[in-house]
Order: sequence, then structure tokens, then C-alpha cells
Amino acid sequence: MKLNIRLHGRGGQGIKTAGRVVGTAAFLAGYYAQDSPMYGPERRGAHVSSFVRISDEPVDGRGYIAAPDAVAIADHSLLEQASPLQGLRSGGVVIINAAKHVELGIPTIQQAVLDISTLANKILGRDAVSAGVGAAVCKALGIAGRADVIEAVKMEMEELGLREELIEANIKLAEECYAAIPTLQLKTNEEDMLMERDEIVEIPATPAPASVALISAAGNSTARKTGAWRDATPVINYQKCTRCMVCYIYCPDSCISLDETLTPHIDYEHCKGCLICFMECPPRAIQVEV
Amino acid sequence: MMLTGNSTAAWAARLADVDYVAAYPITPQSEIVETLAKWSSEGKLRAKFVNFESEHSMITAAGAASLTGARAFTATSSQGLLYAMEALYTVAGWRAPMMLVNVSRGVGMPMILQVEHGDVMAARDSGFIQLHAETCQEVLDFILLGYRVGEDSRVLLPTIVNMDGFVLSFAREPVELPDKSDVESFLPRFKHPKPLLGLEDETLAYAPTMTEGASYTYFKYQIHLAAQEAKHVFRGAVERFEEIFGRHHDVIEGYMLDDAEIAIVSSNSYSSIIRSAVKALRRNGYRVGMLRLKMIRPFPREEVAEALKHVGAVAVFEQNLAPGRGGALYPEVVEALYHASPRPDAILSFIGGLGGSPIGYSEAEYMVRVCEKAMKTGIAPQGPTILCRREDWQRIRAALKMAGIPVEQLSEAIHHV
Ligand code: SF4
Ligand code: SF4
Repeated sequence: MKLNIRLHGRGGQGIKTAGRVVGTAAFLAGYYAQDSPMYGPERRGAHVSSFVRISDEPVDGRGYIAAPDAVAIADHSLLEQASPLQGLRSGGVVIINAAKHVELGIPTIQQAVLDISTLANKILGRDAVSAGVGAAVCKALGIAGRADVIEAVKMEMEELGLREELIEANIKLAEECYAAIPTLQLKTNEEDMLMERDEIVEIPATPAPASVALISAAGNSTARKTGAWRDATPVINYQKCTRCMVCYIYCPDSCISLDETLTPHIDYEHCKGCLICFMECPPRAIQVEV
Repeated sequence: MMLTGNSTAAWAARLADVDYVAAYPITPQSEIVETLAKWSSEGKLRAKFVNFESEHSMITAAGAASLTGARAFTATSSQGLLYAMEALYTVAGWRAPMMLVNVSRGVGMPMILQVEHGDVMAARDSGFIQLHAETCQEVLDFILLGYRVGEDSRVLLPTIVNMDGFVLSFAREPVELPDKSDVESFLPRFKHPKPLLGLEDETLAYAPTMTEGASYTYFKYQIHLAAQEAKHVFRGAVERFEEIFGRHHDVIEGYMLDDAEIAIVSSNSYSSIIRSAVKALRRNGYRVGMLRLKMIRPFPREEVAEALKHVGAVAVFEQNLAPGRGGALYPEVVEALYHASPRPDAILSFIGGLGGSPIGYSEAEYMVRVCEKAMKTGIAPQGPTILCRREDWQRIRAALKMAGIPVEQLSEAIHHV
């Protein structure tokens, strides 16, 4: 077996831990394994990925997995925002945390769907899906048996220093996900790798204003869609809103604008869900949707 | 056991039963000292754990501890290493055999958290022995070997063990943790030949030595001779290491070099990627091999020359870029081969993987094809050849455009072969 898996999710969902659960389970099942997370200097809610390589020989790759055999997506809204399927090999598998089958329009990719978030909310009381995603990946790809997966979840949750009840709850989540997801047959071909080519180019010299990492140009921070970080959404109830403008002043990202009647409007492309507006609104006219 | 590079480094310090840990945090190193701090508070680590206000005092303190006969451990990265640069020369001049784990990260500006070897290369002339790890297991092995070699009275020099930030520091893979008793027999308690300890029956005075030309030369040259000696002491140490732990090490590693026409020289964790690319290139009919540098200081020039003199061309792949020069190791490889006979027709410099940029089969094949072309035409490309993917260049152009730069006026990227 030689298997490269890429996991995608949002900061706070436990994607790093999900990758570790898969890596540890594979290791316990007798394989060579390597797992590594990737994240930038961003925060909760931002796109996070994790890479797991599994093999019966010592693992020979490192870093970013550009052409995975399988992809796991812990938040299906990433499908529109982060192209998590990029490079997924033909015959590969995608494991999606969603309530129902997602139309991807790629016939060569097999799909396993499980509503892990609902299970996590039921069992843990929040969208912490690491144990569930890890278990689902192990089962869907036939990496490790139930006992190894449970042991891996236990080890990783202990490593995080969780309380006994929370470890038990995570094991329960893993058990349910393991039972609920089917095992799919991977049909990727290892030799395909030799066909993948990127063209290598030499960067030209450019004049100083373009070549100093101190480029100043006003007004482009809106191009950064910080709305993708949001895991809780503030919604204004206009019946209750008194147009006091407090939210407009407090929003740290200037995501709230006022129209000519002084009615506030939230820019959801950039609202990152800090909920300061919700906390500050005097008549409690802002609700939170998760 | 599955361990990250960082936790492996912490384990190595614990198994080496270090006496003194000097700490100051920096991404992507912090996990090392955090782990040691935790163990120290739980009583699992006997060492005295001290937090510092900067890397400069941290290195100085670790060096001073080492002079008293303590086994000292510390870790840093990038800007932290450069901030401590003066102290590196100081402790090497003190002949203090402390251990410094550097988790390689690019040095800003531009700011970056991911790997680039400009930090550790800047320390190459400080007098530290340097061992560069490809795997988590090597992080452990090199820390044990580094102490053994550095503490040897023929050497008595500090050691840097380097691992790549993120790609190795945060990656978990299987690591064999040796038995404490085996480590003890490989690494007996450090005995400084002349410890700076005011023992009861001894009066001790110590001051920084102010030298003049001849005495400065004498002391400096002794550091050089000791550093050279480190290679031979390392040779002996790896034999004992293999007896006890069953793993073999050398100053370099050759892979598929025997009948190779072209060799790629590399170091650190990206060597895993180059090795698998070499395997794939072989399947596609290229006669290519890899030479990995494990020891960077002292530079193993005889071994490099011996391993490479029969190949037709050498591609030196590096993850550092010295402006106005190119790769830091390239001239060292060229010099090692200059007096060899036979010697390669072409030795070319390639820079890639900067700031953690991914590399893969394409980069390796490109290096091989540029080498082939140079052998055929007898013309070598000017300066280092930078490895960039066309799609990355497109992304940079798009970002420049957003920043208001008229990208239409910029020259296009060039494709060599
Ligand atoms: S939650 Fe409210 S305060 Fe926070 S970014 Fe969104 S609109 Fe602004
Ligand atoms: S703080 Fe509340 S009441 Fe005031 S403008 Fe905003 S939403 Fe309306």
C-alpha cells in the first residue's frame, strides 16, 4: 500500500488532530506513516490542511501533497472557497462531512459522505470533528481496524490533555463514524505520478517598486475574503434595531456599513465572526447563527 | 513511536540526561523548549531549566554552563539564531561543547515562517560542528552523536543539529527511542577536562582573553584544527553508535551513485523528496543519483570528492540564497572537486524550496536536463538557476497586479530546457 491523503478543514475543527489520528492508526496497524499539518499565521476559522502518507515501505515524500489519492473535507463550504479537490487523482476518494451527497461533477472520483458535524454536536456539544474525521478516513480507505482506530483516538486525545469524559465522548464519536461510513476501493494508479509535470521557469528581474516586499497600494485588503474564517454569523434583527450605530463603530474590520437611513448592513464576505457587534449591541438586536 | 521533529529533539535532550536547558521561544522551534519545560515541571527532566530574555544571553549561558562541566542544551531558529550570532562565536571560542538545535526558517525580510537555510548557513563559520537531519530519527541520532563528538577532548566544540521548520519540525513519523541505559553507555557523563568550577581547594580566576595577532591566530587556528578533527572523531563515534543502536551513519550519504551520470547534491529533509524523484527518474531512463550532506561543518570535502569525481555533472540543490553569490554550499562542492581526478564536466547551482516551496519530480527532472544540456554544449548557465513553477509565477504576477504594479511591463519568465 502507498497512500497519500490530504485533509482540509477550518482552524478549530481539529484537522491537525484528525491527521494525527489517521497517522497513529496506520502506525498501529503496522504501516509506515507520516503526518504533518499546514497552517499560516491566521486564526480560528481559517483554512487548515494536514497531510498523511502511509506506506508498507519507509515513506519517501515530504511536505505538501499535490496529488493525493484521497481527500477529506471537514467543512464542505471549503469546496467553493479553497479548491480542496485540486490534484486529486483519478480513481481517488473524497470523504466529505456533509448531510448528503455533494454533486462534484467529477465522475472519476468516488465519494463517501457522513454528517460528522451533527454527530459531533450531539455527542460533544460542538463541531469538534477530529476523532470523527480520523475514524471515517481510516474506515473509508481501509487503513486500520476498529481497535487500532479507537486506540489512536485515545492516544491523540490524551496527548491533547483532554478530560476523561471528553476522551470517552471522542471515542464514541469515532466509533459511530467508523460504523456509519462504507469502505471504498481506491482505484488510483501509482505510476500516474511520473506523468505529473509542472513547468519550471526562471523568475525575471523586475524593477525595484515591484521587487521590494514593501508594496504599498491602498484598498486591496478587501481582496482577502476573511468571511471564510467565520464559524458563527451575526444577523441583525431590523425589527429590534434602534439604528444606534454602536455595531458600526465597534466592528474591528469595518464590515458594517450604514445606509442613508443609518441602517447597519453586515458585509458577510469579510465579517469573520468575532461577534463583537453581538456583544455590544445595546438592545440585543443581533443574533448569532452557527 | 510517532514523533514530530521537535518532540524528537526534546526526547534526545531527555535521553542525553542534559543538566541545563536554556530557553527562548520562536516559531517553529517553541515546541522543543515547551516540551522540556513541561517535563521539567513534572520532574521527568533533571536539568535546570532557565528562561532567558533573548537568544543572545541564552547561548552565552548555555556555553557558560557547559564550561562548568554541565551538558547544556538549547534551541532556536531564524532571526533568533542571527540575534545570537555573536554569542555563537563566543562559545565556540570558549570551546564549550553545548548543543544547539536550529529549526531552519527563512530570515526576514520578507517575513516567512517556513524553511530556508539562510539562518544555519550564516552560522557555518562560527566554529560550531553542524549536522543536518533528514528525518526525525536523525534529529535524535545527531543530537546524541553531536554530544559525543563535541564533548570529546580532541574536539571540545559546540554542535548545531539542524532540522527543517514545518516540513520536519511539525511532521510526525516513526522514531525509535533508545533505552536510557544504551544512551548512557554511548554517552557517559560529560567530564570537562578543565571545568570552570571553583572547587574548595582551588582558587579560580577567569577573564576573557585579550589577544594580539600571534596569540589570536594560535587560538583561532586551534578551533579550526579541532573542527577538522571532529570528522575523524565522528567516524569513530558512528561505529560505536551502530554497535549499540544498530543504525549506520556517515558524514555523507550516497544514493544510486555507482553508475550515475548526473548527481544531485542535497541536504536536510527535502532529500527525502529528491530521493524519491531520483527513483522515479531512474524508472524514466535517467542515470541519476543523489549525494546527501549530513555533516556540513567540518565540510567533508574528501568524501564529497570521492563520491562525485566519476559523475559527468553535478547539480547542487540548495535552499538558501546569498544575494550576489548564490547558494552557500555550491562553492564548497566545487572546491572539493577542483583537484579531483577525474572530475565532473559541469557543476551547476540550483536554488529551490525557499520558504518551504514544494519541490517534486519536475524540479529534479529539470535540474537533470539543465545538467545534460551543459554537458552537451559545454556552456553552464550563469549564476544559480532558480526553480520556480510557472503556476507560482502566474500567482505572483496576479498579486503584483493587485498591488498596482503594471505587470504587462515586466519581463516574462524564462524556460531553459
Ligand atoms: S462579527 Fe460583527 S464585529 Fe465581528 S467582524 Fe462580523 S460584523 Fe464585525
Ligand atoms: S448596535 Fe444593534 S441596535 Fe445599534 S445599530 Fe447595530 S444592530 Fe442596530
